[in-house]
Amino acid sequence: MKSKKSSVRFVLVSSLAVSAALVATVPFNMGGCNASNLNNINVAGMIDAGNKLRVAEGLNQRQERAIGESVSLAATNQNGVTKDERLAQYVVLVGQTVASRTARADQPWVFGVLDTDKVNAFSGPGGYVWVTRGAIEKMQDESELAGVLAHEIGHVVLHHGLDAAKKAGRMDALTTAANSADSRIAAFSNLTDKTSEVIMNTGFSQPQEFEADAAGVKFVTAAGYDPNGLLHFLRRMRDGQKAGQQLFGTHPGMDDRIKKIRDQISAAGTGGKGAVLKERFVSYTGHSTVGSLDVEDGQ
Amino acid sequence: MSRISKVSSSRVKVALMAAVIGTGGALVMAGDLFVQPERLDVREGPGLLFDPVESVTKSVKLQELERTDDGWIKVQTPGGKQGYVFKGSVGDKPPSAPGALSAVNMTSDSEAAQMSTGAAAKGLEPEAEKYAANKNYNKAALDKVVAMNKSVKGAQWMQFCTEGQVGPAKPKKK
Repeated sequence: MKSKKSSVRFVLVSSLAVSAALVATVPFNMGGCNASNLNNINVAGMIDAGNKLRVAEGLNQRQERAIGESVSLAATNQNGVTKDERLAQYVVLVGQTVASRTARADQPWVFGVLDTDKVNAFSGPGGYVWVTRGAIEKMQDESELAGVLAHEIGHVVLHHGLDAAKKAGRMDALTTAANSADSRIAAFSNLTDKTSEVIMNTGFSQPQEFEADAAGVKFVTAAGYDPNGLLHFLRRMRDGQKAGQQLFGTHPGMDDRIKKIRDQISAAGTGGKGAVLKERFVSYTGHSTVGSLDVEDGQ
Repeated sequence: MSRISKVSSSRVKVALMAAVIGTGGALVMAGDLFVQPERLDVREGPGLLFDPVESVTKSVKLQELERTDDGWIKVQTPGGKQGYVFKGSVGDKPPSAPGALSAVNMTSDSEAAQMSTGAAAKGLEPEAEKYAANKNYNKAALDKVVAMNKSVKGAQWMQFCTEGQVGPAKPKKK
């Protein structure tokens, strides 16, 4: 991967979805998660709630996947994808490693790298997970990449994208046979546009971000990575914001997310355990300390 | 015949009878699993990236050989081939007849997963195809990424995991 100077300059970023959730504007309350007590988080219960949501909306996984594909079409047309095939393959391998430790291990996943300096990561319904080249340039080892992908995998497994779609429009328009084909297509297009806006720009609600963090920490730990990777990356981004760098746009939720993740890891006793794989990360990405705001051990 | 073997023999008979009763007459042995979706790929390794060794259909009985700690089950097909299936795609009883779900045009998760896998191999879903056409979006970039994902095979992934001691190669807890 090219190590562009521009990436070191902490370029202006208008949207950021690793922290997309940082821009919490969507009112939301999915059953099963007490965001104030993530150490006892019931990921299985949240997954079940997500499945019930999908069924309640009368969608099958194929239709959910169609929404994810359409969001991905928007993302790839707006940003392009990396031409660095080695990097792209690396992200697939890390993503599959984390996804293999979830209850969705037998369903298709697509992992991709968007070719933009923006620092961002997001996921669409049906298993589409995207991370930007700019975000990878801010990472320092494989555990950080795995942590960010695990967070996005959490959104997929918990059906947060579907929830965004539900808020975006009436999904019964997609499934009602009485509607004409044209009206179903128009409804689908409208719904997908609004869902893409939430996923790529506005961001999920903060409770959903907490849930995805908690699920992500569990997944990445189960995959054998040091769960501190996600924590380190978010701290680096938070510190960049505090230093006045326009990475994500200031958002008060970042400190809360970091604290909850830190508490979850501390309670589980998994911090510092597991693979970090800095050398492998460097060998695949071609950089080691880009965006090198050092991470302190404290919050 | 000793008393112990007589007792054992009786217990086996009772267990077999219970199994037969519990499955509506079909003889089910411990370790038998039944395919739940309409079609299921039995894969050569414990992961979605591994190629199928055989596709089996709904209600086919598979023999369980061993379970991994991450949800994959090694099985043997009636044709004698061995491979892996994910736990959610099989059950210890044959699937029930089509019920309420199909009446509202819904499918089970495991069934939809298989359909989705097949659809992914063919290209975009019809709704996404129409969305791309309406928006005048170019599909080439997404196609390239999907192709990249498909190019990663199970053996390569296992080597990657082994080198990093992650995923299925994560060290066991002592």
